[in-house]
Amino acid sequence: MIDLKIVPQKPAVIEGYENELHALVKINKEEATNNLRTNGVPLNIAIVIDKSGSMAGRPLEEAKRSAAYIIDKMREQDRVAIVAYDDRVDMVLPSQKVTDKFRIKAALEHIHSGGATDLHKGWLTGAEEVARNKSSNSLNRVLLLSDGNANRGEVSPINIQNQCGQLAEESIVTSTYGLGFSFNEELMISMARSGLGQSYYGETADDLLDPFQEEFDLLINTLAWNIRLTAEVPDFVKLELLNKSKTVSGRSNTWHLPDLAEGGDVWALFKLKIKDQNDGLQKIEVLRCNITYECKIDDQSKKQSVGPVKLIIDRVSPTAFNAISEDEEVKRRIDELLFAGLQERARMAALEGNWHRVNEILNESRRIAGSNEWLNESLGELTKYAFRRQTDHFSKEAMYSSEKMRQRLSSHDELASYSYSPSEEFDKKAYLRRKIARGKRMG
Amino acid sequence: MNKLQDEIHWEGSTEDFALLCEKWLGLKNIAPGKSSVSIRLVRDYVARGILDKPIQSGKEVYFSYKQIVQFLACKHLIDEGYSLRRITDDIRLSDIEEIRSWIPGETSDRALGLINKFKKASRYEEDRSTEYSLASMAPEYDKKEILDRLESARAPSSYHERTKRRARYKIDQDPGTFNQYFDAVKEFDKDFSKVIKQDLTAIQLKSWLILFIDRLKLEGLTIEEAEEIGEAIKSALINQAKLPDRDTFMKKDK
Repeated sequence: MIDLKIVPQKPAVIEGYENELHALVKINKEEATNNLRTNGVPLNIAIVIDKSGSMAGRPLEEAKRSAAYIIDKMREQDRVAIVAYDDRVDMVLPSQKVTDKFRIKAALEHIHSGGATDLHKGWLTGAEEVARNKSSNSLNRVLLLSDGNANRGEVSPINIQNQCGQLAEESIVTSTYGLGFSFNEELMISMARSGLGQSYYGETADDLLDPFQEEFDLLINTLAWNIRLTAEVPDFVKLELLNKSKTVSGRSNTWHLPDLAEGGDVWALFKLKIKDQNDGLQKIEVLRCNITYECKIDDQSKKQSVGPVKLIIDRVSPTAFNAISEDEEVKRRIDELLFAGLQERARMAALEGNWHRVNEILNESRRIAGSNEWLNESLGELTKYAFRRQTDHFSKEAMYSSEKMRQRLSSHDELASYSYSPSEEFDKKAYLRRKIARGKRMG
Repeated sequence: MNKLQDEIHWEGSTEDFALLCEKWLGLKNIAPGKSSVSIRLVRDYVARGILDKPIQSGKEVYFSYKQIVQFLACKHLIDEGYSLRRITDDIRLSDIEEIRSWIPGETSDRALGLINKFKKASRYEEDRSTEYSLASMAPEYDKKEILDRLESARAPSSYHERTKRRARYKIDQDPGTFNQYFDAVKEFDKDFSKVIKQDLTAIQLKSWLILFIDRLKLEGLTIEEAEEIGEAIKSALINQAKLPDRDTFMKKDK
């Protein structure tokens, strides 16, 4: 049902040397699979809206509009709860089936802006509603929206992110939506990262609907979830996962991967350091991977596994090695992750006010982007913020962009060319679109 | 599966209680094939403190829902291999919802338990600032019900955790389970891979530290016992400066 492949950067290493080799793990739906379906997985969602004073006016109205969008798209088998919070938490609507959309959306009108931001309690109340109503078959999500920082109740980012992580282990996933430029992007991204959800932001209220659409598209097109990748290597190979995915608690070589959705590939990029054993063998096994995942089969959520899939490569002479060309897709993923790493470094430099260093890093990023139009376009936004010395703008865009590059689903048709066209991206499902500015709506 | 909460308003005599417990043991498939629940057994459990004392009314005594939960949990934990003394202690220290969560099919959701724990850590218990502005609009719950539900969430029980973890750590034929155990052990020392493949009668942790464990006992080792061994090792390692060297220790042991 699900296909697991390992694609090496080159299918060989140089004999007698220490080699560095990248290997791309790809997970997608098998071509001939008919019984892996997206429709019918019931959703169990809590929408948690910040109604603190700073949200007054347009932001709160857009937040409500985004919530209404989600409700409109939900089906009768789905459940939704609505929570609003400032320094107090308002249970606007306890979790219930989406059988009367008019009534549910009417509840949104009772949210009015108020005081400080007890983000943790708002999130926790939403999580509680989801927890009370989760079933083994449902996809459970807390969608947390905030334009500020946690300044009431539990404010420790480490505690909050740990709690998100613990609930994610119980299948309650947290996605976060930052609005504007005053929210704490590190907190919001770490909550989503630990909570195994998505992280989004919108620069203005107008940009808010886009990420909600993306999340909803992803939810209703999810084919497999709770995907865990396990890798094993022999003693002479050192392994590093470059996506910075979260490891499964207590398992150093098992990682949580993003959910697989229709039309997309889940991927993970390993860097292998291989010390050649000089044992005379022509072929050597350097990596072995397994995955486990959950999917809906015959109306039941079932745990499945695939693997082991082995990566066996040739030991060749330096001349023969140089004659082998690199796999194009692996090369692109390497570039994207290098690019993501540079964005992160540029962000740190921007936060220190070292704009000279920021420009150096952006130039280095340009070199890596090469002819990849998407990466080049992405740089445009950051260059603009750097030119204007807009630290908050730069910090948020760089952080969300690098996070997305590491955790995104790639679409099947990306490899066709290096060109990038916003209109072509717009035709894709929202979760497969490559945006050039994470905080801005497309189109 | 039938839920024990269906009996929440039940009250009855010792005889009725024994019959009802017998019925629930069957429904929950606890202690299958074991002897029936006798009045003598019920009295014994009351005397041991496993069951709360029944309410006395004149010459009659009345049992209730609470004792049904205690009885079934006790029987289930006996099945799981825990000692009566241990069970008694834990039942005395736990509230009824927590005890109920130890019974198969009665699990109070672990996620809710975690959420309750987070709330306690953030001192939200005293601060009941969650408002239910539109609870009346929600067809499925009223305000009181919501508040009751908030009250009912409990942290995951230590028992529940232990029994779950114990099951998880059992080395069955399932290679996945074995790998999980193996990974945990591997973190101590890579050489363990060789030891694990042999008959597990002795586990060498360091050159001077060897655990001698009866093979049969090792097969039934609970996570709790394993943790105790771990604690002992930790204590030994921390206090190693005060320990005699191995030869002296072995001679002394003889």
